[in-house]
Amino acid sequence: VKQKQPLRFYKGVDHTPPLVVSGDATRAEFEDFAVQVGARLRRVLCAHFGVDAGEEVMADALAWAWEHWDEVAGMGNPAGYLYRVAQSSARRYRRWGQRVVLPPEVWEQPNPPEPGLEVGLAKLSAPQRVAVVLVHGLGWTYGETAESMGVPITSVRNHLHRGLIKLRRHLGEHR
Amino acid sequence: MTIDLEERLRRYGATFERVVSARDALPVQHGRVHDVVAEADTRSRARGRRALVATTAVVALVIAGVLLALARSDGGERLKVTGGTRAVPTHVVAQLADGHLGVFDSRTGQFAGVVAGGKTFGSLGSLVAASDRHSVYAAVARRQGNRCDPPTIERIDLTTGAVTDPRGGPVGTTRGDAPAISPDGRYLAYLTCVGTGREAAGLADLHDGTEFRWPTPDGELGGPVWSSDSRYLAFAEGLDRVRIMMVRRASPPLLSTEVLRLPTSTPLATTGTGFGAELAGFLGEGRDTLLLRRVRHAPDDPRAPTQQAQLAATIEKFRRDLASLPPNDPRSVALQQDLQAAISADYRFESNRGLKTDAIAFDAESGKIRVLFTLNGDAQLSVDETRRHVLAVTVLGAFRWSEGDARARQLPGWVQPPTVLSPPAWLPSNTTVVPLPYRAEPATARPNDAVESCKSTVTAMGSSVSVFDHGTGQTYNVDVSDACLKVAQASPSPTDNSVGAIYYFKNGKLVVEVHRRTTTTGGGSSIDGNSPVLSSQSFSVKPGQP
Repeated sequence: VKQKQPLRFYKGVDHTPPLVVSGDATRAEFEDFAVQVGARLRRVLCAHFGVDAGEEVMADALAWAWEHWDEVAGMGNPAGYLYRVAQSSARRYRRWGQRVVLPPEVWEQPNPPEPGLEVGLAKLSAPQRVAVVLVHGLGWTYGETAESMGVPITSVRNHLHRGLIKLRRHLGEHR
Repeated sequence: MTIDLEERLRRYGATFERVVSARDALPVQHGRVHDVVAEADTRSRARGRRALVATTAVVALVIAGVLLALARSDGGERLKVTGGTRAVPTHVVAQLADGHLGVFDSRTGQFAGVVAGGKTFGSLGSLVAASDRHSVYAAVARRQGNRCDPPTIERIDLTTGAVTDPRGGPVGTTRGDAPAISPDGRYLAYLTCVGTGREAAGLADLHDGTEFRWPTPDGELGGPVWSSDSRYLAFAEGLDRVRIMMVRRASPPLLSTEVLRLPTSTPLATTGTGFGAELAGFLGEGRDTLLLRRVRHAPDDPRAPTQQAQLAATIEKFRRDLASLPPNDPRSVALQQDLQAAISADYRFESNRGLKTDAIAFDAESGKIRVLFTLNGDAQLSVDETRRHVLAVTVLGAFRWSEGDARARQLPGWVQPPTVLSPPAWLPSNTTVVPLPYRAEPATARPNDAVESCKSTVTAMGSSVSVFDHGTGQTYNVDVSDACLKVAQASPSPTDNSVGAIYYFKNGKLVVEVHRRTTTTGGGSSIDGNSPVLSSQSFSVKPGQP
């Protein structure tokens, strides 16, 4: 009698890229684009929508870029355009418009001030939050921030100014 | 404690950067992108569906009117030829023995007529209906076809008989075998090879003519089959693996692939060696997809006895026709032998020899898996003698699979055999018993008369003969190594094939005869009723036991 083998399950995921007879150059271009532009776009979108939601919206934007690669490849500022695409895409997800979840502020001192900075940032408007996080948090220049957001530098300056005022008011800090 | 806001923001920026940069380290996940695209599409379709409901009725009425007008304008009824897995095709196309393409009713087996303008074609391989329902794709063996010199895939217009290349190039550009058209009609999948000689899965985008090939790491490829929503494409790979590709409609298509390894204790692996288990298709839609496997039939359909009677009548007619041939006609002898191996005289046993499986589909009306068989498809029969038989089948297994999680989970309701199966008393002591799962019928099911009247299946597998008992759903490998030993002893050398064994049923017993081949008039050799019998051995086979 040949005994039956015990039931076992295997897991194996193979993401081996296919041998593409045509169109492989396009795919390689897109992968480079996703790595280069994606890093900056991720920070903008995570500041706008929160970390998790921003990641989802970014995947949407990249998918859109792949579908419209001929159009995107010829753009002068694809990151700014994809930021707009992501905002349009995010309107479909109603739940993501309710609350922005940002990483909590980390303090080494025993008595951190209340409320946390992330709460105040979440109450800013999205452009103000993006401008504050990118310029003051990540140290981007006004020009880099404006290009990533697809707006003029003056708009970034206005968002930043109003955002800091609102943030100080929320944190109870007066100058 | 007072800290300047800019300083707090700078510190917070470091935290933010640490969280976000951790995601930068992940590679570009095409599957992830595809995942979102698929989700977005689903939502978009849901919205679109609501909008379409309002207009569908009007559009449907207009289309119906136009189609009706067209159908009447050419003076005849239009046949719908379908190739999807969602339902049994209304009509199937087959090549007749004289080279014509004919249409059969898949439910009754009735011949409906000759199509393709009455033109005749050379030997066509597998046929698959195109989405327009008025043309078919055929693998045409222009050369001596094998996997690495594959046949060409051509599109045949069923109305005019015109032959074109599926991708729009010159005829013969697309080369592959076993074509499968996606239900949406955009992609054509097939088996092909790459320059290194490795087998490869092929995918042609019929929209722009792009072709993709995935070489298989090892093992043979089978399939391919499409999901009903045209998103998933599966190839059988080796004995126990299924390669599932997610195809996103784009140009070029957004693709990712997963390898689903099936539990090795299931018959999916064990039957790959001899029972011809293949991918049958996806059942259902969406991500949680049931993956079915083709199986030797086990009729449990109430209509099965009627179909068996039709089968018996067809075989009886076939036998009478053969009897009318000259007694020494080599073709007659060979067909007699095939028939003898195909089914026992009392129709109690049946083998896969002489029966060819053409299509498998899910019948939404009855909830059954149905299979189209051709009796003696390779024999030289006239149109009237070529019949289709629709038999209900059970499947070896249904597996739930989800995208991104390549684990197969066998569904409840599909009974696993006991871990250790006692050998039936009537089998020789050295018999190897290989169990197959059998779908349990509920206690309230109809009397098991149909099952008792079912046939057993016997398949030769090297030094053993496998008998599939439809009464219990179990398969037994009857060890015939004694007979094979006699073959070896009688052979002058290990590579000599002048001695062989044939199997047939006689008086309820499985008979294994060792013959010496005789030279035929064409220069070949055969084993038939006139070849000398070196030895004969009988085995008792009683379906329903133990």
